[in-house]
Amino acid sequence: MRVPLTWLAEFVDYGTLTPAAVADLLTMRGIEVEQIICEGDESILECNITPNRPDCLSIYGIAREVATATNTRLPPFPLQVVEGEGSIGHRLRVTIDAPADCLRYAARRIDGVRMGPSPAAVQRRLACAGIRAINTIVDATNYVMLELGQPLHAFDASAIGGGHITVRTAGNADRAFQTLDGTAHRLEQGDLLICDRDQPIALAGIMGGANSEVQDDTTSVILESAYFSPSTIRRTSKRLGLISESSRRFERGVDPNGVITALQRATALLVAWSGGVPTRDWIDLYPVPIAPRRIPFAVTQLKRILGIPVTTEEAQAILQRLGCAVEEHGVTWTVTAPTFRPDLERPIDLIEEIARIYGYDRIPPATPTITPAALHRPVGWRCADRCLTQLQALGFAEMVHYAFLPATEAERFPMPEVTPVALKNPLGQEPTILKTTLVSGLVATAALNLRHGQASMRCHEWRPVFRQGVADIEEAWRLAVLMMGRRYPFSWTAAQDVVDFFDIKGLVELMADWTGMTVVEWRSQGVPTFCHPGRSALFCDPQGPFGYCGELHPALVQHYGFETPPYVAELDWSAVVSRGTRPERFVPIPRFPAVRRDISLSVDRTMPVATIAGALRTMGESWMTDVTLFDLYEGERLSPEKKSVAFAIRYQHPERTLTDDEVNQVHQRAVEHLVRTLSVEVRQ
Amino acid sequence: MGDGVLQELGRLEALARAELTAITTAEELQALRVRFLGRKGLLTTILRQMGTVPAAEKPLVGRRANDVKAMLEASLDAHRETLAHASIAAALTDRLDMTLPGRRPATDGHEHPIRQMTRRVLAICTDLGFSIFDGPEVESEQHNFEALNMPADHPARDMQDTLYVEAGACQRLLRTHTSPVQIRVMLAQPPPVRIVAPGAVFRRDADVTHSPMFHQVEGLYVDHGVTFQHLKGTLLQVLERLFGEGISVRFRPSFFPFTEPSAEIDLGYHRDAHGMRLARHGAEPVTDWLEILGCGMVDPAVFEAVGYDATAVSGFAFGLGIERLAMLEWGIDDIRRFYENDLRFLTQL
Repeated sequence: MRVPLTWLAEFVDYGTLTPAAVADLLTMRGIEVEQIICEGDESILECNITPNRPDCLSIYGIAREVATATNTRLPPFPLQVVEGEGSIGHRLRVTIDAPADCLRYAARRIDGVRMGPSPAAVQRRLACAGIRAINTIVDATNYVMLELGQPLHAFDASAIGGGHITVRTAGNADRAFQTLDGTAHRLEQGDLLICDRDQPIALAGIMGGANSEVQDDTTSVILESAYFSPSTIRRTSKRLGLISESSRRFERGVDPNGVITALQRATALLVAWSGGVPTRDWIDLYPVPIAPRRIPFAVTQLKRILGIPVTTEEAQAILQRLGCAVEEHGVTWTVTAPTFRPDLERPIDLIEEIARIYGYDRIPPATPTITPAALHRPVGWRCADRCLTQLQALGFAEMVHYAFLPATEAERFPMPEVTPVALKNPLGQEPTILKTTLVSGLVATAALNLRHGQASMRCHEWRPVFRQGVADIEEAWRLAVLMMGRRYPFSWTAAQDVVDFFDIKGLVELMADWTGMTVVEWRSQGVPTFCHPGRSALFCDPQGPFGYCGELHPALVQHYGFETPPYVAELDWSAVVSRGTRPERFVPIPRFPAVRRDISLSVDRTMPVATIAGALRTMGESWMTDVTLFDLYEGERLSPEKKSVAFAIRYQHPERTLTDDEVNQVHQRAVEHLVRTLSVEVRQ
Repeated sequence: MGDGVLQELGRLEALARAELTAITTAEELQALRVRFLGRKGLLTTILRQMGTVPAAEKPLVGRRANDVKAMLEASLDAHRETLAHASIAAALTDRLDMTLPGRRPATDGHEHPIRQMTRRVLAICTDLGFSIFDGPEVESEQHNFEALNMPADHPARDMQDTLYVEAGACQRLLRTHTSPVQIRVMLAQPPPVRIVAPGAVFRRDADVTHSPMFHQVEGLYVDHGVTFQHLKGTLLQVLERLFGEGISVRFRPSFFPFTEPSAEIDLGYHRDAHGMRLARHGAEPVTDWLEILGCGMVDPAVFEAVGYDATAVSGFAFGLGIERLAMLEWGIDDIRRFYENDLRFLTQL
């Protein structure tokens, strides 16, 4: 809302206050002045009016705020009725068929108008307020709308078929309607229409029709001033995406009892600017007058909410300055709120008004006395904190991506057996879906950073993903990581090799340690198809899979133009949170030394290392406390079908030192067990 | 016979001394010690002949043997000291090129600025006794709007253009604020409630200062006797802990459907040729007020929606935008930077 100060000064005397001081005054009372624009010698306040204050969508309304703030008197807006000739009853009939949607409808007819431009001063003032001058008739309606906040519409009287206006809601027969901006709109049942005998001539409260718009040769006009139900106007305006100065005011609520003032003011301006003679009387259908609201108000509530005792005299004075009437019955008052303030309905609304005008800055701050209580944190946050901190220490950069992405991109990252959820009203034209995996974001970002010269990167993200569940949308947190390029920082000293599957697997193992998960199986089936089928795995704890890791599929590596393939992993955070365990008790440190014995084997190249290690672990030798693979060789020195593996086995007794003989015996049993149960050869 | 043993002891001593001079390492020294003084060493071998020594000479020979052993041990110990010193001296001669770059265990990791700022705000709020709660990002209209006094067809809904999701029969949306968490917590527990709810929120809006996804921390304090004064006192604490002491703060009336009275809080900045900075301690006049958070007393309609007695309890709520704070703190010009995840941006903060 743009408020030219010369216009404001017509209604309120703010003395010697500078424009900046007026702006500050308003801002500190909730009418935020975003900036002061200077055009020529005019200063214009650009006000941001909150949706609860339709009364401030007018110069007079702003003037009322200034008067309240400066505690000066605001003279009532003068009702000037231009004398006319002839009765409107002979020339226009109005019927309201939708009394719940149109609560008041007033109209007056003016004949013999001369179309033309408005006086230069009017045009300038309209321009300052942000409205383009068009002609005397339209300008008069806009001028009054800006002044009083009541939208008006002018019909070309000759276009009203049958001289009969009906206000009704759209029925089956009403399909389409062209508004005066040239746009055709599809109507739906419930849209409120202004109709003549034959057809709709305006979308009530939103915009007039092209068929009844005033033209250059218009000589007679019907001026409409009405009060429509705010929610009716809003529903249609919202659905059609058609927001006008008029609809903005109607949907917030104009003053139903200001309809006639505005009609007469517009008539007077129109006659002054373009000549013509109005009818002697006017139509005013107002079957059920809207009475000012009476609000019971317990004054003690003021202190309960604000904390400070505003004196009853001051509170009363503030309410009266705002246009309320106050009847005192001891500590309970009855406050009658003016109809131009539809936002004043409840005691709390009055408390806000009193605080607002009293001044928030006059309410001293106080620290509440609180009773200490246990602090709650969301489940899994501490565990996440640990993981995120550890990842950061390992050189990972945390990413934050949008929760959704274009469907075309999402299609590259399908999650098995997951139905994605689409946005109903995405930002652009593109179909958009909620993410089912965080990996898509990390991969796209890796590609972006690669274009900026980052061939190596480590990044992670922790946030929810979404899927269509049986009953509702399911939301579950994931922790995703990506590694690409060099294994060590680029330097003069480190090996320059690049990460491979075992780097991401090692990271998963670490993450399992951090979260207290036990990985018992690496499963190659069921991995998402955006991973390389031979270089990826699901990792499982005894209850099942809780994530996957692997190399990005070569097709995607090619698509994004990666130089070296990214390796990704994604953990199901809800599984981690519910299944991860942290040590709860201290386990005494063994007092007796451990002994290491190594075993070197030649095995078939296809034999999984886990088979051998597993065979050792399942032997049930209680002194055998650890099995670690420490060497793997495939190459020239062996036949092509073979590989050599070497394990370090640790033996330890909890209660005494093992003798060499004892260790040798167990180790010998272990070696024989392997030879007997697997096709392995011991290498010397 | 006694003379023979004495002579052998003398020879042994001379031999040991001679060999000792040639020894340069601790390992050689140990070998020498074992060879001469060990359980099966040369000295032991000689002493086995003690049986052949006449009784009268035994004390003399025995004394001599002990002397030789003690002397040898002393020499060996002294030599060990010498060797130790020599090896330290040798180690100290090494001179590295100190200008070679250090070997880093990993490249520098980074916490996203959104999380950094969220963490800061949460730490302050938990210090002030607020618990942390979170909630789903996909919400119902009931939690996101209706329970927060934003009925359908209310113009206040325009303040928050909403992204809806395809959810079959049930109407679901991406939450437009973290306020639904307030509703969930109040539905689940009786007052007092003192919580903050951090998280991602969504609006159908995108430009330099608006992102379709951004982050909020929302606070709620409900108890008997909570007043607007407490709202001011608490939020001044939060802001002073966040921005430092002596800042200029103003509470300006505003409108939110779920609070009444409502306020927006502005921070005072001073703008001059060097740019813009916080105006502190009144030393520099405030030239610009920047909105930093929205707040207000919980609207009775919200209490009604969650079954609290609005005549018995009162409370305040506040919400602040993490990106906005981060943009002010680090002078970031474009909100989209947070979501591009360009490492050249992330690694700066």
